[in-house]
Order: sequence, then structure tokens, then C-alpha cells
Amino acid sequence: MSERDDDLLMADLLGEAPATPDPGFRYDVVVRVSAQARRRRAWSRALNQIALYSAIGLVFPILGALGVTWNNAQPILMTAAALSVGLLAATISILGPRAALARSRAFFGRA
Amino acid sequence: MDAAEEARLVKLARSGDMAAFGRLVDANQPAVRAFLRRFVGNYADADDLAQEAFARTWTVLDRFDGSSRLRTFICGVAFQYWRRARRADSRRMSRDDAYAQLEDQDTGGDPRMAQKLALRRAMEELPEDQRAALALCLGQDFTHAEAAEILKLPLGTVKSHVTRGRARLQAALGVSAEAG
Repeated sequence: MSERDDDLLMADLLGEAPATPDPGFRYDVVVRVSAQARRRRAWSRALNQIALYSAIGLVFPILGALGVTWNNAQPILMTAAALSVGLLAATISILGPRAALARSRAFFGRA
Repeated sequence: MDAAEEARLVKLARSGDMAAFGRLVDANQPAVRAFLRRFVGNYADADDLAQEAFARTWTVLDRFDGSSRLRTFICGVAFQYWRRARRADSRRMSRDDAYAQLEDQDTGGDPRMAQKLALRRAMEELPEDQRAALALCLGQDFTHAEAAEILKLPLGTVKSHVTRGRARLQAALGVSAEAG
């Protein structure tokens, strides 16, 4: 028996190459890819939320430390609140689950 | 699949085309899974590892520079992942499971099964780099140069690993055949 035949025999005994194509294997890979993408998105969303709420929570102690009273800060806070609501509405319109601008986004994504 | 078609599909997959990536999985899974089955010894663990390697490849496809075949890159991903994830206990358990499985089958008196068992035992006794080099090169799926790239070892070391490992396996097979 040649060295090559010997090698192939040993390789076969150690583990056969699987049949191809194997749609089940491909399906399992796609499922894993999707699960990983979901996990990454969830992490990213969680970090964004933590950062946002921390920033909101920090505003008040910082203002207090600077000696700003509620009456003084009211116009600034009202403006900030209005801007935040506007930002939230725009984000939901563009990126939300049922985005009003989904078609435009898809169009510009293709371009 | 030729290199040009592979490069085209890699480009599509990088842009997010899952169908193209699926075709790459189909084309590369036999070589990757065969390597991992020979290396790990347990088919279920090997296929699990192969799926994880393909899934990771999807996320790090940008790092593939195209200087080698994609299967080489995927096997590298799988080997590095295995190295990071291995735990002595789980490895011993899976090995014991494999032995138990083989020994159960061995009770039928099948000489091929005895050879399998002897080879698997000899394989498990090899250092991991030598075992991986053998698993890659024995079935003629990968060249020595590809194995060197996957294992991040010098070419001469891989050749030496294959030569020595082959001798150990042949000895195990010879002893097994005489015993049977």
C-alpha cells in the first residue's frame, strides 16, 4: 500500500468527510449568524440606553453643583426636552420597527 | 469552486449577501468539517465547532485578504476558537465519550472499529499542534503550506509534525492489526 493510500485510509478511519451539499449544516450556520447579530444589536441597544439615561441623570446634579436653580434652568430644560422629543420622533421615523421613512432609507441604502 | 468564483462570492458576502455566504458554506464545509472531525474526534463537537467557525467567519470576513483559499482562513478561525474555548475537563469528557462510543461499537468484533479506536487513542496522545497538522494533511485536503498558515507554524515544523505523527499512527494501526 502506498503512503498516499495509507494516509487516506487513516484519515478515513479518524473521520470521514461529510456529504455535500448539506443544507442542514448551512441552515444551522445561518441560524448562528442571526443569533450573533441579534446579540450584538441587543448589546449595542443596551449600551446606548445606559449612556442616554446616565447623561439625563447627570444633568440635574451638575446643574445643582453649578448653583443653577429650577427657575433659572427652566427655559434651558424645556428647550432640551423639546429637542429630545424631536430627536426621538425623528429616530423612530427613520430607524423604528415600522419606520415611516423605511422606503426612503432603503432607496438611499441601495444608492 | 474556483478561486475567481470564490472571490466573487466573498465580495458579495462582505456586502451582506447571505445567499452568497451560504454558497461559500456549501463549498467549504466538507474540508473544514473533515479536518475538525479528525482533530476533535467527536463528530457532534466537531460539527458544532465548524458551525461556530463559519458564523465567526461571517463577522470577520473583512479580515480575509484573499491571499489564500477561504477554507484555510475558516480552519484558522476554527483552530484559534478551539484553542481559546478548550477546557481540560470538557476535553477529557468528550474524549471519554468518544472512547465509550467506540468501545460500545467495538463489541461487535468489527476489525475496522478496532483500528478506529487504536488510531483515535494514538491521535489523542499527540501534542495538539501535531494532531492538528495531521488532521489537516492526512486526507490530502490541505497542503503543508496551508496547514502552516492555519496553525501559524513554520512550514518545516508542520512537515516534521506530519512525518512524526504519521509514524505514530502507522505504528498504532500496525499494533492494532496484529492484535486483531
